[in-house]
Amino acid sequence: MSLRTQLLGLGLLTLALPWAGYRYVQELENALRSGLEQSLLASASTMAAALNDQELGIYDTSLSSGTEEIIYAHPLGRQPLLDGYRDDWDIPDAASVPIGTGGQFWLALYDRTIYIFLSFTDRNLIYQNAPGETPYGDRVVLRRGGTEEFYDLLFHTTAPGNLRAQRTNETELAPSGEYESRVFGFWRETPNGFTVEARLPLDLAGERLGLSVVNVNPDTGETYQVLVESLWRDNELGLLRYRPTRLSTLANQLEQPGRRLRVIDTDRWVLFDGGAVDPLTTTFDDTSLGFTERFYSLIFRRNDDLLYDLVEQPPGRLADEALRTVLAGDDVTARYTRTPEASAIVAASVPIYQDTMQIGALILEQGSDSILILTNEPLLRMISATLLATSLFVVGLISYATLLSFRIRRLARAADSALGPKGQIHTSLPGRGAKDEIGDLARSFTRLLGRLSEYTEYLSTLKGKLAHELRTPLAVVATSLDNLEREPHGSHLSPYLERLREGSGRLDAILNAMSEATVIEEAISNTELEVFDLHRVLENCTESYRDVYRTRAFSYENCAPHVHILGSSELIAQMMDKLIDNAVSFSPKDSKIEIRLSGTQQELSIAVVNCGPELPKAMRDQLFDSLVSVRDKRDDRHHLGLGLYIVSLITDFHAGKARCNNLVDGTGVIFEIVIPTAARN
Amino acid sequence: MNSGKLVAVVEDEIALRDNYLAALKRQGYRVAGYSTRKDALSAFENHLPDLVIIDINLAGEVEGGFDLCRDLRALSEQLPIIFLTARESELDEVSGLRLGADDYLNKRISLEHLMVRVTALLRRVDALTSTEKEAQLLNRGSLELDLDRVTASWKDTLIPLTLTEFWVVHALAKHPGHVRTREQLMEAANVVLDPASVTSQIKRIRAKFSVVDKEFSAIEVVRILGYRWVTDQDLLLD
Repeated sequence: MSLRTQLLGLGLLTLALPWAGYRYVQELENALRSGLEQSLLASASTMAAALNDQELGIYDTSLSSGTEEIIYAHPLGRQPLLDGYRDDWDIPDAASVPIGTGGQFWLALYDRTIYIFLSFTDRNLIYQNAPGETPYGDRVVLRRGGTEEFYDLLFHTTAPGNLRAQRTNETELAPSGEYESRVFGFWRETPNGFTVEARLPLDLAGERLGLSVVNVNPDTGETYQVLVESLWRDNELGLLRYRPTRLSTLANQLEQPGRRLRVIDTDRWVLFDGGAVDPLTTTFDDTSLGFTERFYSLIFRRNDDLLYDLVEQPPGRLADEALRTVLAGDDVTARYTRTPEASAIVAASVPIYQDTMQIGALILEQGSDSILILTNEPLLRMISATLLATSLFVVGLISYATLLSFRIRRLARAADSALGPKGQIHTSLPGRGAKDEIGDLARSFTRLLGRLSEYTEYLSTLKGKLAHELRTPLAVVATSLDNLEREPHGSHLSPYLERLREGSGRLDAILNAMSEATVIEEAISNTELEVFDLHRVLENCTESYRDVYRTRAFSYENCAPHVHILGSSELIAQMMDKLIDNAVSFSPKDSKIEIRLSGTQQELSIAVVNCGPELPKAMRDQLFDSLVSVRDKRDDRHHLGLGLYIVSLITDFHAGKARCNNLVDGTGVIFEIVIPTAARN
Repeated sequence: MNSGKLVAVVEDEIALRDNYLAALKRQGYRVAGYSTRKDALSAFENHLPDLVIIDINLAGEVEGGFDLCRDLRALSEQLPIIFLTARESELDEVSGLRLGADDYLNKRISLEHLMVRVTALLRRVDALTSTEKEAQLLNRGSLELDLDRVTASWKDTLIPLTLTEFWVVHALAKHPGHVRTREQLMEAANVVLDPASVTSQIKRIRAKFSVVDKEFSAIEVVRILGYRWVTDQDLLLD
């Protein structure tokens, strides 16, 4: 893992900072919410206490048998016109109560007046032709009851339009002509049947209520079939539920801004509903938020559970299961949201008692937006700040790591390439001036390389120095021998003298070989460049080699287009001498040595091919180095591995390359020198 | 003919010096040996020898031989001076010759060859001093070699050749057109050198001729075999 990755990982640890902040703000919000719940519960308790044991006008639910239909009078926002149309009723369709198979009706309360809207499907609409005649026609019966005795109100008409209710008796349900002056209605024909919109004072309606439709249909023949479709079953009227005015008066005084107060009875029917929660704001409203906040909303979405929703299902009745707790007599608080993005609504619920008997419950709700405003703002600010700090930190770390790794890599590269291919050593490494540990490292490397360089330098001059130092004692031996030979001596000494002479001669040859490279190096540094004809030099050389090495056959071949190079013909000739000397010493007697000149306009290649033994693979690259020899037997000459070193010296001087290889067919060895032409220079 | 000539050897390696002195004595020379530059110089200031052989490396002084040569040249312009040293660097050779030495020899030279040189140098001095004697001349085109005085001139201008250089030129010019191998040249010059040294000798000879004649091209390279002298006439034929 690179240094940069490591430091990047380290830098990412700072992301814990905004996370911790987020956690903290969340805790804060939870605490604030709990506080809100508590205060809400306290308020609710106070309100409940104000309602306890008051005359609230709430039905005594104990009167209910538990099986009858509950008819809830929905509160109307405005007074509807009695016109047979329901479009001015602000009550949902779902709030209807079915009658038999073909009808449904809505019940509403406005200003202590009950409004009834009946819609009935009837293909054969039949009206009474004239008063007193039968059939009486289609008609609607409203049965009211309760503590007082039952009595029925009949909505009956001879033609669509306004009508008044008349009392009727139970058996015949016939119009009596005895009109109830406080009950009005409107009969309207519809494509499918008819609608009746009617109103009556709340006082006239009892605790119980029933509605029947008398549907008259022509039978086959003269008679009529009368079908009564009723809301009630088994003579059990529906229980009327409505919002008591007394409760409304009391509860209105308890209302507080921003809070919704609801009172329900033990059957969960809403008896009071006042005030409103501040409009639900979407915490992270995409349209009003900037890019960064939207980014945060993705990361830090408040995953509140979708909690209880105090919706009314059916309308007018709260469906919430949690209310069972409060209706069992316990205080309860709850939170709910409608969508995950919306802020939660906090609700508190407290039971209401009358004479130690629970008659209902009070529900107080409040939005938690105020908390969110309190917490979200700092949260966003804190996250922005820490994220910025983290980014700066990470960027800083990465830059620093990049710089560090750059310096280290630069040093590593320099250390790698400090040793040149020819063994030259670059001792000056980059970054030595730095005062830190990397600078120390660079300085150590530089010192080390300096020592190595000195040592290499010493080694490379050693042979020259050694030759020089040995020269004088050898001269002493040689001159002594010279003198000794001139002095009279017994013939028995001659063999020894001969051996001495031979030994000193051999030493001399070794010293010569050792100093030759030094001499060539010196000669190279003093050589002036000239443009010359390489072909002519090689031709002359080959001619000479034929004279000198009579035991080898030489061939010369030139297929180069351009034969002039910039350099020294003398040095090239010396190089050829070394190459040929090498080729001759490795090739068998009477074998052929080929010299080939080939190449392009850009460079020339001199190849010397001999039939000698193959080169060992391992040594091939070092063959041109100083003191490297692959000869496996000592012959009469002295090989210090300097011949090919001289070749490489001269090749380098001509900016060329020297290489050697075995022939593909294994029949010999090729030495190749590639030199740029004069045209290229 | 050699009797009476005083040859001084300045060499700090006693054994080597004694060997040289013994060989010179055998040839009939009077000899004097010195180890240090100081000793040698104080002796020479009293009495100049006829020829001096100097090692560059003297006791206590790495380049004492060069200094001694300079001092000796100040004392006498004609005194033949031979450097005999283990140093093989071309730079040293050039420095030595530039200081006015007549020859620069490597210690690899055999005693026999050394004696030939000493004799030749002394003969040159003799020839220079006795002008009345008929000169033994060798003419090759623009080249004129005086074999007694061991001098060479090109287009009537004297070329200051060292003894070795003179012999190399002589060996080449004696038979123009004939190739002389390096070995032959070394033999002619009475010196044992490696081929590279022959090359640098030739280079120096050419340089010296080029000072006089920029067009000088009489020495032609014949690879590995050596060199040959091309007379002006040959060149014209080309």
